[in-house]
Amino acid sequence: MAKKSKQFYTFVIIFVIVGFVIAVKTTKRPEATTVAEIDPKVARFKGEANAPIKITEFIDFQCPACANGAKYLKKLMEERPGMISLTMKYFPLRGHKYGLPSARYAQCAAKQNKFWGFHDRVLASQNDWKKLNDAIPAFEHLAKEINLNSKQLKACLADNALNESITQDKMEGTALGVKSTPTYFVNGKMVVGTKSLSLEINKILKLN
Amino acid sequence: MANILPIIRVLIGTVFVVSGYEKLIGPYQNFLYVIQSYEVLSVPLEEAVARIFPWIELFLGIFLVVGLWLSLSLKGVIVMLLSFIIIVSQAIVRKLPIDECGCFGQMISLPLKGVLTFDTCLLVLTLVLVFKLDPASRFSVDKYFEKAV
Repeated sequence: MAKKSKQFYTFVIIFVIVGFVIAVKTTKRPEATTVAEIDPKVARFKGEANAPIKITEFIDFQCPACANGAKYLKKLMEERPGMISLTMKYFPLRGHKYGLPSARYAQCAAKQNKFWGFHDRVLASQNDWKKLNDAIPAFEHLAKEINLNSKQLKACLADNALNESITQDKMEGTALGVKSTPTYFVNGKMVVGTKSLSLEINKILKLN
Repeated sequence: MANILPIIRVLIGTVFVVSGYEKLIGPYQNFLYVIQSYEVLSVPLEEAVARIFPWIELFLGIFLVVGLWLSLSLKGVIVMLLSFIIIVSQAIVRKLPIDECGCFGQMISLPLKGVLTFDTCLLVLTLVLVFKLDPASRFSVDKYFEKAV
């Protein structure tokens, strides 16, 4: 009798927990369900505007997986021109000391229409600058390499509104359920990491 | 000592509850990414583990907290902790580029060596509970049903 009530009690607990989690998941559903589109004319977009595979990436320039993901996407976009469009949004992680500073330089590069030059270089040299006590000189050096106007760069970095655009991206990501980087939205579907990204892209390519 | 054991049981259970719950309420893709970074499972298994594992964590945690099917739940926790320790150790040996374990979702960020120490401590404590099951079962649902017999 006691064993039977214990089993009954167990089922009740399981039922209540499952119900509770489902209820929380339903009410705490990501506030946003679609990624806000970036104007294809702006600097953080590349590829054809009407490409069949539209990817939006939430990136932290200090994350090693983001550097790997960038290599994969660059190769894929070169191999399949016109198939993929890529939009970049900032998601500097709390634990990454240079996540925000690198995003600030990237956004200033974007303002001078040189976002992708900075993006490629900052990710390629990630292992060199992420261990430094002060990575700012490294970012300054990269800015010089892509010929950013130093006067405009200085003014941009001093602008209080700079962090706002980065925060806005991060808030959008958080509302969509983004927690780590790189998180991609492939034709609106959320995938995290390069492995899931390549699986999703291969699935779409097989269908086409 | 006998009075501390139920507290330890509840604390270990709480760790599992928090860890499972944190993973369950977010999109499962975030935990799938964590699993993929350890490079031990095949693609379909990764997907299955990402969906099922947080539920097991949550149930084991709750069973430990309330003290239900305690002997079985503690053995389940030992199996889980051993698998965590093996998976994290292989990642350290292989020098996989993992900054933090991802074990608690975004709630707590621990480096791999930190989580290895933490899991080993939990494993030792859980083993103590298994060997001292009777005092560890104080204030548990199991004890309530035992008395009812």
